[in-house]
Amino acid sequence: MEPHLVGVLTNIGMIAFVALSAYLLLLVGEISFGQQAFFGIGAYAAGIGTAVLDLPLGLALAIGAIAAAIGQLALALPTFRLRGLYFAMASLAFAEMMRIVLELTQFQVERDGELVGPNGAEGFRGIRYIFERGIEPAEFLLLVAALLAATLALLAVLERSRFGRRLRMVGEDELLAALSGIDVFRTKLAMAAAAGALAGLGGGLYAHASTYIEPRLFDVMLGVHSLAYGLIGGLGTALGPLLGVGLDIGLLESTQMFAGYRMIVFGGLVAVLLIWRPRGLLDERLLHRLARIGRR
Amino acid sequence: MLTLAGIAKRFGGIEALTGIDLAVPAGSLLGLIGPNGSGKTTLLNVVSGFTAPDAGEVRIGATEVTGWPPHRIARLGVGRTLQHPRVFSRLTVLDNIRGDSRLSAGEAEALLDRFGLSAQRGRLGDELTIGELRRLDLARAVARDPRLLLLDEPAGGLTPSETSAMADLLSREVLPGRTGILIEHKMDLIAALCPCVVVLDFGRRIAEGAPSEVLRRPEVVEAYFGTEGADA
Repeated sequence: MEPHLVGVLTNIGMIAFVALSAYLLLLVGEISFGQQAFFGIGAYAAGIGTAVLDLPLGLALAIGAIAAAIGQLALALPTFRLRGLYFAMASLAFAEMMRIVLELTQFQVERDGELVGPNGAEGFRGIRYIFERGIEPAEFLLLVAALLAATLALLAVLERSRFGRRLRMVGEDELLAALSGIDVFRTKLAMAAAAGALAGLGGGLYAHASTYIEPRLFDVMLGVHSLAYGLIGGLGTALGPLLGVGLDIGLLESTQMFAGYRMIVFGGLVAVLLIWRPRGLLDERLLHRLARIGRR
Repeated sequence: MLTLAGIAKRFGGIEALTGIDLAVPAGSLLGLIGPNGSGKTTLLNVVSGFTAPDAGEVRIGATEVTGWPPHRIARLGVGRTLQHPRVFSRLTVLDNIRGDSRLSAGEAEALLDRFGLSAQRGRLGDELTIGELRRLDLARAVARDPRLLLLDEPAGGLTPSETSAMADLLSREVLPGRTGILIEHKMDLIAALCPCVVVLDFGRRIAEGAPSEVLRRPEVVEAYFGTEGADA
């Protein structure tokens, strides 16, 4: 496969995780502008895992996902009881705070005569696990694709389950969900943990694909994009955010289509869709129609 | 079955409920009537956990549930319909019924059949007429087989023939074997279903008794129609 295409597909796969994390929160009715924080936490934690602590990649990715899940829970616990846009505002503030914390974080150790580890605003160099072990970019793409496919399969099963109905009930009408015996707060917390873990997993993969990360990579633009992917692609299925990532990174960014105007096109697309199809292209109504046609 | 003692609730300067005492014996349906703004829905909100009372005690059976969150009260066996029927508009009618319950698809379909909604099973919640919405709201409330039902104007917005069908549905499918409170402005429905009514006015309990007798009392007439109505 052509190296450029491998790079684009790997990028789509990694960013899909953070888009899915924003999607999971949207499913339960919460808007987050801060998923980049958990992508960043996962990236730093997994990077420290392999580069500083010499852990195997799988374990480092798991640590990254768990650290991000804990981070997301720490944000959700005090803010999910708030009404309206407060969680959205808190998520943005938390993400900016986390970015500044990363800029102040120094945790370097000497390995093979070289300092590795987070070095504040200078970033975190030398996350060389996949290069030191001769893992080819195409092989890494396979790893990303396999993890993404497993995640999507899990979400597909979940969405067809009783728990999946519970999520959509909470997302649409908390009062009615509570009348049905659903503990709205705990359901949202469960989704927060899952959303944090997915963003962290994506971040861990990103750190290893890039070998170098720095705090400014995890700024608000990544959070806004993550949110917009679900709103563009659709909230009716987990494939929606993937479609959104594909349209943005696969079409607008990678092909240089509308070069220089990408953000205008992207922003315009979000604005038009929010008016025309507020729940994105693959929304519940379209999927319902397709299911009806399929049953005929 | 349901006991309220000294329930009080204030919203800012407005006393929504003042010292309400109420007992609904197991297996009976209590009618709760009163003019708009008299505190009927607030009282149901207190029982179902959406509004914590400022004072007083709510007991369901032997369990004191004052201040419990709504989902815990629902899990205790309390079903509730809303004044303005709300369903999950992005879920099918069948999934609205299944919701978070352990009902199988077959059991949910049987329930839909009993509520005359079989033909709508695959439609989304926002594709229903007001009558269908009311029936779905009711079916959703009984899907978890509650022992206590709180019904907030189940015939609101229905035509006379739909109201008659609703009365039939309530007495055939919803009420048997259950305890309940019914809020309703249609007095024919109250008279047909409730052996006893309580009248609220400005958050106070002003009368209790058989519907035919209570509705003739001057204080009840005055609450509904003003002093001229009471004098007439």
